[in-house]
Amino acid sequence: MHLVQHLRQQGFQGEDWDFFVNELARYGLAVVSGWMRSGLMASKCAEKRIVAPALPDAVRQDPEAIDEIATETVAEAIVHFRDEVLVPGVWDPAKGAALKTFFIGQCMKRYANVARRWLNHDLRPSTEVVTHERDVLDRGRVTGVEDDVLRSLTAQRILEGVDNPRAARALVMDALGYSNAEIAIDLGTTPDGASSLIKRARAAIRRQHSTPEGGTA
Amino acid sequence: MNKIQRQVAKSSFGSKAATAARASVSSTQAARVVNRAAQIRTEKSQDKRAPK
Repeated sequence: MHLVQHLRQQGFQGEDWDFFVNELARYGLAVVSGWMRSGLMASKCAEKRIVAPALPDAVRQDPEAIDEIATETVAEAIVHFRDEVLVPGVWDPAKGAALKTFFIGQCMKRYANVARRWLNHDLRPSTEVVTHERDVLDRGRVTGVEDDVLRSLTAQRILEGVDNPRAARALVMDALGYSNAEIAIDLGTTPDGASSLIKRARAAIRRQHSTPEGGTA
Repeated sequence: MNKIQRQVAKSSFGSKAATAARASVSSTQAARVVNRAAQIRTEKSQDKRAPK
């Protein structure tokens, strides 16, 4: 009995399915993020007649961006692979195409939409972001000296043209008391992705502004 | 190696290249994808149940 037959017998659920999903996640992430970093993804999609946006070099060199897009792409692909390929029995081992090829095909389909959504959020004109975020910053809550410093620094970074506008936006929303889930929706990422973006941005700001004695300037 | 591990190893996911690719991804990264997939699945089933 082959893998898919075995999983079908169990209704594509349970421990074995969970194990397989984990393997799909690992394989999908490795392939999708590798193709994104190398710039191969657009041409791979074009071979399959999938119209996918080309990623700017700045995005391809940003590990956080690659991670966010690849995570969402592979997660969506897993759900559709189960519901549209495995359950209805679309994949036929007798026809020669490998199961992993089918899965990567599903990743490419999902990638096109995910990358488009991500880019629409990330590439807003910076003047719009500055105006809006300065406005919301002014109304933000202050819970302590650290938040106050972070707010000032965040505002400064935004005004100077932040390297990563997504991180700036996440920081501002966090300072205003938005939940990670709300920030994730705004940025088109996962709550975990939003959380780690905020943590990294806060850590980077602290590193930049810490004194040699370890205090905060 | 249990049954499902053997079946994955015998499938196209068990090729040398695919095994190396899978091994290059950390458990944390994989868990984030798995959790997000579960979340998407829940949202999808809620959408189906919602009255039109």
